[in-house]
Amino acid sequence: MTGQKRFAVFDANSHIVESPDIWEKYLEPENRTLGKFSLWREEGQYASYLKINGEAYRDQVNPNIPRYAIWRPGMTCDQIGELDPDTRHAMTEGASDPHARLQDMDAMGVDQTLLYPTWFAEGFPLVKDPDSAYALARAYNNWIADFCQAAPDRLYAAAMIPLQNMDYALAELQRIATIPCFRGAFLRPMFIEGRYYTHPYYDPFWAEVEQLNLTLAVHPATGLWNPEWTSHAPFIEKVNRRLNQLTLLREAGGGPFAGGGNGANFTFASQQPLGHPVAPILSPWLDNHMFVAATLIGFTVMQRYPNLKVVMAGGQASWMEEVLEKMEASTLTIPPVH
Amino acid sequence: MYHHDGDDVWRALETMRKCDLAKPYQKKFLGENARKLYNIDTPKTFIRERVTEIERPDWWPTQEEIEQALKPEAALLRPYRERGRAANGRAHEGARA
Repeated sequence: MTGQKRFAVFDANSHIVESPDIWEKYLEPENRTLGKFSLWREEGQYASYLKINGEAYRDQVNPNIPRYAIWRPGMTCDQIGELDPDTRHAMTEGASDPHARLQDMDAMGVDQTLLYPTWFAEGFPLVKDPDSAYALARAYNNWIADFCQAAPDRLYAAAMIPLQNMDYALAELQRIATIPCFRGAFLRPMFIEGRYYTHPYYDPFWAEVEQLNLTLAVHPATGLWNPEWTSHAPFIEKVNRRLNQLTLLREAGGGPFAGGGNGANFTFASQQPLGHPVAPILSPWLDNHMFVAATLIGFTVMQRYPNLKVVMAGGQASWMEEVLEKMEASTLTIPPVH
Repeated sequence: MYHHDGDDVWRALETMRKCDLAKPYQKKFLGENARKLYNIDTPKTFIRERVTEIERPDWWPTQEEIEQALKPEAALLRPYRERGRAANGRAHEGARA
């Protein structure tokens, strides 16, 4: 296999897994109780769940194989599939430890990276209390800034912005813009409090991101812990219910990507598998990308803020031609509304 | 975390070189565009040779231990205290030391 390269490689889409330290050390003491009520990830021996606004969403996939952080350099996909589904497997250390992360990057040949969250991507935009969201954003951003300090010229991050309150969002944008590791503002394609990015509510946000010379770091999350969180909630929820019904065959093996057993956390709520469990992961993914791209272009966000930079991560780009072609064709028959 | 569908840089380079993809396109595929959009400077030094020996802490499992742990029967042989670890590697409260 090739063993040399002649240029620096930048991984524009890599994730950390949030350390409990965010809640236990980085959240201000007066915000810890409410912050953990608003958003928390529990990784237990017998129960794993994501808690949002006080409601626990239990893992629908096998919690023994933390698929969000199971891979490590040198491991093959076949080896992941062969993991014993009834044994708890530890996440790779690079998920939360910057020094282990850098060693993994060395092994992968990755020189620099921009880091996205995991549980904050899934749950943070759903936090209802704006004050908690603001406190959680500060805690996450301070934690990831310290993480990046391990190698300031190699580790960069997308900041969490509390869009639940535009005043808070703008204040946090201005704060993180002074911290060198932050180059992007995380944006998940979804409705926040019933508003999509067509809404004029977001205009001050676009303007500030542009003014601060930051970049919109757009990254969908599948909403596996609650499909209502995706941009097309009713459709995705229906797909999820139809296709993601897990079996009770605990001994089937193979983990979530192979329709395997659900370990100690199996549920009686779903019994008949109707489709491959990977389907609900794939179904919202391109949908979210196409929807947000069409929105930012079609609703003139990119036109009104011409210096705004957007990076859409994790969804390839082959669909963009289709979006543009459809938009062009539609403008011939449908008068522009803006 | 790492997107394991992308594997690593070395495999990507191997594939692109097999296809005779020009070097400027290789660079674009491996982050050059995104780095510019994020206003990140290209590092003065970078990884040139594939790392084959990764320095790990003492507790890091050996290849032999990893292969052993991948076997189904490992679940039966594993001590309780190891089985009682959370996914973040921390021992659960109440797990025997």
